[in-house]
Amino acid sequence: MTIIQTDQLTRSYGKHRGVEGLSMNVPGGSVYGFLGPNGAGKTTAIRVLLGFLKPNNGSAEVLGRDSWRDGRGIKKDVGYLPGDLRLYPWMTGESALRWVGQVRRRDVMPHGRDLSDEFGLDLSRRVREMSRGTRQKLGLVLAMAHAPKLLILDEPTTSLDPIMQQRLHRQLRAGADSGDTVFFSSHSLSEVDRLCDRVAIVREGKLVTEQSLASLRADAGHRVTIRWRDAQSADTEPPAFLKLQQRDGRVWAGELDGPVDRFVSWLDGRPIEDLSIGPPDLEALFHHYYENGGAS
Amino acid sequence: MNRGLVAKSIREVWPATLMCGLLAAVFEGLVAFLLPRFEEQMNVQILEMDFVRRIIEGMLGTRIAEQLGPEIISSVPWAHPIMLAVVLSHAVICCTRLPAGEVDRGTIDVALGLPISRWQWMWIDSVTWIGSALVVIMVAVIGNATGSAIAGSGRLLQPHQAGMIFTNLLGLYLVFGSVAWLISSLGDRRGKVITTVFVLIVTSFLISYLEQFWEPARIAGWFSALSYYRPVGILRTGQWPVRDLLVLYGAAAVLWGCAAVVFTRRDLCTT
Repeated sequence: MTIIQTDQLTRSYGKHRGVEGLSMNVPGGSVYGFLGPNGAGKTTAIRVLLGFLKPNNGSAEVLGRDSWRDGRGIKKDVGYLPGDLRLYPWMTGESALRWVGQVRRRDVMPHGRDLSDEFGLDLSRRVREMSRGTRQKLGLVLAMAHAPKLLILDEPTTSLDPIMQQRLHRQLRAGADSGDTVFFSSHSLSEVDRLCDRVAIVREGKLVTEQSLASLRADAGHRVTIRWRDAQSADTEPPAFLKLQQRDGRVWAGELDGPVDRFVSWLDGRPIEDLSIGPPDLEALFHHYYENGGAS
Repeated sequence: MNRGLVAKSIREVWPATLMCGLLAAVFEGLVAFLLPRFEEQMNVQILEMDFVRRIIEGMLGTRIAEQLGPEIISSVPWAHPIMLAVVLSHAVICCTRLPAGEVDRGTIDVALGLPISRWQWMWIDSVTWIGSALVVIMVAVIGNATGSAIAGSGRLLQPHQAGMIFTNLLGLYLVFGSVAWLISSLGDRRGKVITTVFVLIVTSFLISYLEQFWEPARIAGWFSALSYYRPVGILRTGQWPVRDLLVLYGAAAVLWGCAAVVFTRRDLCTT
């Protein structure tokens, strides 16, 4: 089932570029990473999905409903954490949770308290006395307390310490495993690598790629180092799928393009002394997309 | 009614309501108590100094004769700029919270991330606003009655007179509140919105002040909401100012409607 669907979505405003011709499908029960450098249009896309901004062109549907016309209905089943979270300063954590429950007309206190315990959040403190990280934790609790079908998080791990990030990832993964969907924007590659099932990469408002992380990994090159047993073997012509970046006597270092098994077959029977094949280098791939939009 | 929205709205409006209500009540009480004591002295000054008469005429929005009659003395507390400033400040504070105030402080993201429609939010905030306006003006009426009763001058407003002034003042309040709401719906920065509304209020004050003795201002007078607020006329004639009320309440309804349409259709962006 598709939870979020955008078709040629375009939205620009003022001096901001926004998004242009964005088409993506977020499947249910997945953790979907929405990646891009600052200013790529991630927050604009999220604002359109939540009905804060009206598309200039194209369409956006969330949970099968039009995001602009039926924003209220959509948000019954959506939890949202804004990128630049600002809460009412006079509220305490407890009163904010109660308020969200009243607005949603649901008792969110039990699950909210469980989440607060998980994140080590003191609900008795006033928002104005909270540090940025604590406010972020409260924002997450408020977004997740009603166990939404879809969680939209705009750079959720900003200002969270690594332990909290880990706990949040655990929660998000558990939610996705039980059939809920998580859509989160990030520019942290390691976070996406750790957590996501699918990713969309945007650059300058345009979608560069959208695919599963498994397929991205398959696309990503592996870093390879070979130490040949003798200099004569090291003089061999490298295969086309291995881009050598260093060739120093008996040592080759480079990046493998494509699957590893092809490379292992090529090595079969050749006199090597030592071999190391690193994990897929997603970082290099992301940089490639960020910097030139995936063009070779 | 969404309980959460109502509770939040009341929580944000009550400090201003308490402050403005108290100020209005104390001012009304003091002026109603003190003014009759200086009536004789004021009449002498009006006879001797023409500019004092002009100032009082500008303030009351009407011509006055040689003597300040009882109606004029009783209407001064209601037409005094301090009283109007206090009451209209309440309107400006309340009506610039949504959406400009919420966008400005960034909290609109959290609120509109919840299952509420903009129309519902506007409606609930408006009901709270009007409720709080009733409190402020009612408290001012009580203050006035208390001051007059303590002064023992026999100038205590009759209930129907108080009712008419109350209704007229509420109409004026609603017009400026709706103007504030409309400008707030168009803006993102609360400070700029408040400044704009205050400029409009001061302009309206100036027009109704100047129109007493300057012809061009008289032509522009019908643009000024203050021209439709005439406590002296009410006390002199004892008649409901039907035309004034229709203009004020009609204008308020149209302005509020425009504000609602703009708010429900506009883009909201806190960054």
